[in-house]
Amino acid sequence: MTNRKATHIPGLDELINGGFPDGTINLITGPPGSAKSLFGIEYLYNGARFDDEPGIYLSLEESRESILRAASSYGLQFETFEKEGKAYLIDLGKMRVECSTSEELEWGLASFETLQDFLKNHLSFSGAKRLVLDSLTAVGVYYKSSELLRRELFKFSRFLRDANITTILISEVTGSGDSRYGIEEFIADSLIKLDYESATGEYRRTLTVKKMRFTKHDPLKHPFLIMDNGIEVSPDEVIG
Amino acid sequence: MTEATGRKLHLVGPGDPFVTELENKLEGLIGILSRYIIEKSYSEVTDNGHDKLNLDSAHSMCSSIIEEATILLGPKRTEELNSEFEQIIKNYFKEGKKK
Repeated sequence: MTNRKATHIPGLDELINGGFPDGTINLITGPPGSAKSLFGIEYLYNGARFDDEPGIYLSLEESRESILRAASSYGLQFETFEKEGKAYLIDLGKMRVECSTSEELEWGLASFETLQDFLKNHLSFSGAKRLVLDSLTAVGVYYKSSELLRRELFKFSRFLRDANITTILISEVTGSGDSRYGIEEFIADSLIKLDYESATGEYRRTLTVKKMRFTKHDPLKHPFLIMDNGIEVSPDEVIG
Repeated sequence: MTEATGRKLHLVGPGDPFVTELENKLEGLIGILSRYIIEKSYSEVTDNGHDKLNLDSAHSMCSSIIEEATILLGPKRTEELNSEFEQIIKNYFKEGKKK
């Protein structure tokens, strides 16, 4: 039987047979404002809260303050778990701005190789079991060619699997595609697309598990709401 | 890093054994990112390497490193690192083993 990392997001785990299989790479995609970051925050926070599992949230775009504020507005007090060494909210975007004195250094700070090097060392003392990278888009934009990006992303994914850390990669998409660069879905074990649509004047958020290896999953499009305490998926309701 | 990005990094190692010890300590926790933090902190307290480190500037440098490293290490490990840095300062400056 496969061990899994439950998301503890109401309604979601029953769509994915209890959670993400341990050590897998899971892609969360969607347009801006589709609650991708909130998904990642909840995944990490709930792991620390319910399963006593340390996790790392690596942010390359949004500031630490902004993420903490967003989490706090849903009642998720990240700092409590940070003090206990169970959650690490790392603002690499800030470091990129403050510590790179040239464009060349900024490049180095944004590469998969640096992230891998950082994580390799960090995991040795944090013991993190969950990782969120927000976002893949912010790393990919620094690569000069899609071939180079593909190669480096593949190496990075191999590292993550070897490290046996259950990862969420957040990727922003626009339009009808499933990923920004068209390659992320091939290295990922699962793909969950968050979206929103307007039908008959009603605006609805949607979640679709488009792919999930090692898992019998529900591939239909389900509505979800953002409630006072975060995301809530309706597993029994299906859209079109 | 060079191969991945197609560009070169030009980090200049300060070459001071005290700084090297700080860097080694930090590198074991966060990898190559330590070089960015060390370089920045060293430049700040020595006016881009023009001044030599003394007890006061060593303290300032360590404070600067700790401030930057907190967001990478979290409060728990940062506190431990701070104590380890204090010990390194003591070894190099207060006990007269170095400088």
